[in-house]
Amino acid sequence: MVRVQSFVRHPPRLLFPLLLAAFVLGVPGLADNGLEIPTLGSGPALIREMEIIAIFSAVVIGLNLSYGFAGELALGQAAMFAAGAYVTGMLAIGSIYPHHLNELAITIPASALAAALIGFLSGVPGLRLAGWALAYTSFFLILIIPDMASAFPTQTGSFTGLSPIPDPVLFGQKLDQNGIYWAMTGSVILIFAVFRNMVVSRHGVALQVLRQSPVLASSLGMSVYRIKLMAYVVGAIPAGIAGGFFCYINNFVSPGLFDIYTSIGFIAASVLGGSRTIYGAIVGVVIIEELGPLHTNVFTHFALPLYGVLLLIGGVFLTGGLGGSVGTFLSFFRRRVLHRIPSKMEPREPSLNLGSFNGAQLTISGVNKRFGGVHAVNDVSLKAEPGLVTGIIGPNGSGKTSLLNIVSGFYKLDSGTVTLGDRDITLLQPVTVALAGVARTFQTPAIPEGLSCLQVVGAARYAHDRAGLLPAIFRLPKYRRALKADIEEATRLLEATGLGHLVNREAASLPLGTRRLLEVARALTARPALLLLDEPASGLDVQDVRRLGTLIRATAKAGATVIVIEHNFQMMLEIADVINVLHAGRLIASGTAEEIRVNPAVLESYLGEVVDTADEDAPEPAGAPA
Amino acid sequence: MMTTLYAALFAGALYTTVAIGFNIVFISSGTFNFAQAQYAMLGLWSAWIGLEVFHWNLALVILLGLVVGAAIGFLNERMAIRFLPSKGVHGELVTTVGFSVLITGLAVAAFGNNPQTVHSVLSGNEAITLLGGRVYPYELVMLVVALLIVGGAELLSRHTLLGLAALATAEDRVASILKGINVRRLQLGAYMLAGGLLMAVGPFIAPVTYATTGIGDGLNIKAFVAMSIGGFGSPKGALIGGMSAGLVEALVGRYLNSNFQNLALLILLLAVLMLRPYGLFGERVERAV
Repeated sequence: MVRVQSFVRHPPRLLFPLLLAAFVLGVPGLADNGLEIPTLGSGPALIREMEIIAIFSAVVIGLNLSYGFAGELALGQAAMFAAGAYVTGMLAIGSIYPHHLNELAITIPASALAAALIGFLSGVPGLRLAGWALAYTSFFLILIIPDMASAFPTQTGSFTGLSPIPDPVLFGQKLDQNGIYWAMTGSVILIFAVFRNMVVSRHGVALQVLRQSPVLASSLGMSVYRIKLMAYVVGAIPAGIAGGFFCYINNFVSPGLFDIYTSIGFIAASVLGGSRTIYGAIVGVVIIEELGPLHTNVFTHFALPLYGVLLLIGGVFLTGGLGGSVGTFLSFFRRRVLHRIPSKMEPREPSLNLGSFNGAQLTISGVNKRFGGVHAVNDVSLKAEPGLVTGIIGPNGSGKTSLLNIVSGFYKLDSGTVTLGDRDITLLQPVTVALAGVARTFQTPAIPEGLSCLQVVGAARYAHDRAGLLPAIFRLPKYRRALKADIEEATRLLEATGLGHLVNREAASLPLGTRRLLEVARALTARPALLLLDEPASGLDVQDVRRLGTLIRATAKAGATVIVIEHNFQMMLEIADVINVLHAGRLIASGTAEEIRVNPAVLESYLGEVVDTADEDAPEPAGAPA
Repeated sequence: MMTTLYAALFAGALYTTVAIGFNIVFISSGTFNFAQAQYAMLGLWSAWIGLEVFHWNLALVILLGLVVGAAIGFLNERMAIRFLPSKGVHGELVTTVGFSVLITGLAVAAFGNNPQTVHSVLSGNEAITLLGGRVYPYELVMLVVALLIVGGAELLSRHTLLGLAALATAEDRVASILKGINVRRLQLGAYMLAGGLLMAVGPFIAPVTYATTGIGDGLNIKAFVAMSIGGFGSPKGALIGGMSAGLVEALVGRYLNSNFQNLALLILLLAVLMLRPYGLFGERVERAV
């Protein structure tokens, strides 16, 4: 019997992080007693090194969220760091506000806020285009640091900067060096706990989905833009906090401390430690820190070629980073050696316990779509009713998938209307269409890597049953409820589709037929009013086709409106209540399986002209008179 | 006023040229080469070595730039692009940044941080007065060079088989492979051509900017602004974008405050991304599922 494990990837064991945290907090005491760590030193030097590592680890964990998990390179992470340092510096020195506000409980949150604000302002336009736009808008922020410093000399001290920064108070209590150390490392430990909780939550799974396939994410109702923006802004916050603390331990802030190569150092640490890890950030920072000190700018120029080589090697060979490689090994070990998960991956008989669907009628009327000179969809009108399976057949290039893409919002039609129930969904964005109750599968199954079947299927509920970031970070009841529902629903539909024994398998490594069924299970988990299946049977063996057919019938019977696009004429005749035939963009016939089977226009376009001898090759509907 | 305009035209010509380099690579391979602007930086040093150290003639120095730039372009493609794991989205984000940092770091190690003067050999080194503004003849030479490059790129992309193959590859890589276009060779060729081109123009830029290792990052970002305004993949767009960026920069410097030049360009970039994310001449491509 399959044990239902957690929905999210097996969370890292908490023992190691807790030990590490205890050690980090205990370093001042140990240093007094003569602790010496090779290459990090002893006494005050050791404390200083630990502080630097803590600060940079915080910056890198933020970068991991936006780059590793959300897939957008925040080249300007150093600018967020600088913003945090300047805000704390200006408040501590009193150059921006007449009263001294050198209170950690004020300066550090202010620094975090400044970084988040800058992240938001550069992210809103920067994320409009995937790929490089964000890298450049954030890179630009670094370029203007010296300009801003010299434009506001009384506040920022221009090129010489601000110094000395007085030691802060915390809730009115003056902090000594150890106090600052504890405040700083404590904050960083907290940041790591928050990020860990975020990454191993539903949000982490959503990020994995949208990084690998934005198309899939929007078909599941996830707003790619909004989630990426959230990841980028949240990823900027630790950099702001780290900047604030950096200002105190460095004792001065000046524009020369922050250039593009500071960012490059952070990115190198992220890539080296593994951008898609949590604790890898620390590994990366320790290595970079020892190779070419990040914080002393004098050395960075000598470290440049080295950083370059590290990024090349990291980008090409070490996609998971050092930390990632260890993680992969651990999870392999756990799965194969400790749990011995069976390796049978074929589907079983579906339980067909689907629950009920609130189907809605789909009406397509007078739809046209041209691609340049090709009239892909030519004045097509058709209806699909709840409780029925509506088939669309036609040769390659007849406009089937174009039609489906128009309904689901991926193509903009030239004219015509599409209505779902009594709602007009013409020209809506894919996300909105998905939220209106349309779920779909893809010709090539879109199954993100590194996720279990349970996660892949459960992700379909992310946008429909929302629980925000804060509930996830603090594991509030609202989040727990949503997670529990994810697990229950996903498990139920996996069993309903015959995949119940595969809940914890890595989904992307399953055979094609199983992945197709998995896509159907995922589409059903969103409890859609309209289900669109794009060639679900292609590449399946006879057994799988039969199971799929049963499943599609059962879905319609449970109340959903189902549209199936297929080449498999035989299967279509068996499962469809109504069949529409497309040819060169036009609807040439529409009717029941029996009517379509003998329709001369269909026989000509679909089976070839020689109607008389077609019987030998023509698939026969089950139980139909020959 | 005219003096400001001349400065804007020179800067615009420079940004246009680098943007064309970005475009050549982008059209032919669908990748974006973050290291591209550093070739112009290397071109300044090849001009300094050729003209000031060895006193070679101009043609030889241009040839040197072409050959060395193509060779580095070859390494660029092999090290940062060819062997990328295809699964990761935008894998070249990190690797081309890495290559950029690598060549910048090596240039700093070789040439240090001090700028070196490079004299113009094609024209006089004295400023002249033209239409009421002061301008150095070599600034105008660079403008002509940039216009020639834009014209050449426009001709190449519309009227030669090679250019059409590149456009086809940008449109649909798989279909191009099926039509017999060797997309790998095209990609390698594009990296070599773009590298060679940007290094070869070094002698025309260096009299104004001096040979310096620090110019690459600013050039990189401003050429990106140019490309965003004009739209990815359009030489004409690169010219208009480059000139707009040069003009905004010069006008803000002249009438506002030089501290706000970069800020103004940043705001311009953000505005373009908000209003016309695909640029003036770029086309929005419908997502295929």
